[in-house]
Amino acid sequence: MKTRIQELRKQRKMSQEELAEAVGVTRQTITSLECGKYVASLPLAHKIARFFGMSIEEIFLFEEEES
Amino acid sequence: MREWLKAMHGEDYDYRKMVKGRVLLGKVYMGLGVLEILVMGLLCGRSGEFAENFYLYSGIAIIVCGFLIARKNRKLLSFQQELSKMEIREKDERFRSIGTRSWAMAGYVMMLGLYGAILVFVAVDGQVARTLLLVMLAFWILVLAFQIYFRKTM
Repeated sequence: MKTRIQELRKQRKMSQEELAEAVGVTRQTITSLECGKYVASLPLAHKIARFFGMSIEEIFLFEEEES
Repeated sequence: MREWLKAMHGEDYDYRKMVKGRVLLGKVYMGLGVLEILVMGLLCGRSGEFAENFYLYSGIAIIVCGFLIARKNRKLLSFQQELSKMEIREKDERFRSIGTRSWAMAGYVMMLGLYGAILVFVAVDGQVARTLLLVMLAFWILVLAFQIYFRKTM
């Protein structure tokens, strides 16, 4: 799943470590989220969205599968 | 124990209590190791060299592991910053997911390996084949039991 986490983090001039600390996860998890390798759970997505002051849908880009 | 159960259910738990529990667990392991060595002493000369060596060396290994677990966790309780770092790491959802999936995959692969070994030992040594079958049966009973438990509680 694609996310805007890296873009938003860099806008705020934050390191991955700082963001990880702010939302209570490890730096490796932030890296995996930014690469799209790991999909955050709803509570974590909510924490990240609340941290950036945005909605979950604005940060986590859910692509509908074409039928 | 309570904190460990909360962790199993994916609930938030008191990490400090969990670490204190691990210090106790380390001491329990040390006690079990001593017990094993005592068993070795009781069996001396009666069960063969393999059994005696197994009890002795695994007993020593468990004592050492128990000591290291207790020491590591006791040190953790003394350093708040380290404790907080470890708490974040252990409660990290990706870290927990990796752990759960590793156990699951190891279980699947183990079952395949066990099935292969049973097929071989049925022809080679019936007693070993029966033992392996019992291990496989016990594993599946446990899987079913935990499935029933988690379906009711989640």
